[in-house]
Amino acid sequence: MSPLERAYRMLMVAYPRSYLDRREEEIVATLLETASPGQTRPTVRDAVDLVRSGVVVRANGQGREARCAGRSWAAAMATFVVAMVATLVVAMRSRGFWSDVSAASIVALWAPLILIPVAYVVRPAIICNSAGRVIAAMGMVGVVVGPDSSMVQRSVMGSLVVLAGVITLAPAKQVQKRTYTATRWAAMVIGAIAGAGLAVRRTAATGTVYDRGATNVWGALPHPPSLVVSALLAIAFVGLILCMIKPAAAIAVGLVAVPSTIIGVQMSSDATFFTLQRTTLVELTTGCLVAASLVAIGTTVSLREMPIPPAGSEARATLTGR
Amino acid sequence: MSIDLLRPALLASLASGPQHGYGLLRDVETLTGGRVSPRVGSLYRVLDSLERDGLIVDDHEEVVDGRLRRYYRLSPQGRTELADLVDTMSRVSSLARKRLRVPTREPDVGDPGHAVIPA
Repeated sequence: MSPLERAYRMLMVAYPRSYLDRREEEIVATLLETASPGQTRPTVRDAVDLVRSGVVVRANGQGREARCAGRSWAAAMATFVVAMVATLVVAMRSRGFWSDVSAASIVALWAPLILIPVAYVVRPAIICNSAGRVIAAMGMVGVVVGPDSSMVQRSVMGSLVVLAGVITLAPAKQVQKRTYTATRWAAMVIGAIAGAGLAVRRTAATGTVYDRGATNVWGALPHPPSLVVSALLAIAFVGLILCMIKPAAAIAVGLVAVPSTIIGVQMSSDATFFTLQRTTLVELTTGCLVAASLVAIGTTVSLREMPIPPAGSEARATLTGR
Repeated sequence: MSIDLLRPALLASLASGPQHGYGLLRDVETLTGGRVSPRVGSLYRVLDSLERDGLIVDDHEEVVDGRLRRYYRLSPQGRTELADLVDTMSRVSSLARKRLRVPTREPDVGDPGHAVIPA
């Protein structure tokens, strides 16, 4: 594959997978024909046009699958926004603006616990519906504004958020496949264990359980470690989006997200360097990173299980055999 | 401006027979005297929409030097659409030509230059 072709294919990441299954080879062929001899990089106009077209196709999504993928994409954004708002809520609470939100937060905390398994058993395709997103968002809020300081509850909630995240972000195409379902359940179990492990570790390292009343997330900003955590959060966010756009990128995301998680946890454990006041942010970051890693692992594993897209014609068969 | 012309230009290009993506690009440039030269991504977006509207259909595929070429052709519906489009466009252009010849003239009731264009 020439560098030019590789560059074109990379830009075409902007298109949804289902579209590429049908059009990728054809578009690449046309692009290569329009390239001038000796050209090694796409022109700026072509690059902009390709990415823009990809986004437009994604947004207008033809067929149910494409629309699902588009909505999952929007959901990833929405979840991120919810996480940010939730962090803000905690910050406000810590400054006395919102001293009692216990009733709301209890609902937020326990509703997903009941809703997720029920929804999942009744209708696996629920992940294509907005219900899955609402549950994920509620779980996220629950973790942050939860009134408890119990490590066990926190771990359970953490794993539920991870599950909700994985379910929400899973490519719609693979939803019905039993193998994929199993992979995601496995991912959840790993998530629960990891979550519990992280909590124990942090508690042991600091010798303190969470003190919600003392939380003051923004007080020390911009504090160098806070900036680092923000960077980690950004990495996780980019990683989640990458996983959605291109399952193949999941491997790379996993490689980046896992070490970032470890670094984040290490930093949060070091009380002298990064005090417990900012645990909420760290928790949020860690949650995002773990979710990104699990999506990465789940998608990578499931890729092996996926059937080759149905051959449309002889020409297509020739190409795939090439 | 160019994107508005792309749809009719593509239909016009396909009127002469099946054509693949690159061939369409060249043909559109020739047809419009180089005024419309879409990028590849935009071309396929318009092809998508023409396909969705049932105006064009896949004709056949070829592999040339290991590269896929998909040929498109006009559907019967596409032919009708193009004929209608050409009718309307020729009305508009003859009208425009007429008006351009006498640009400062006052509007006049019953002037064929102000006739309503039938849809």
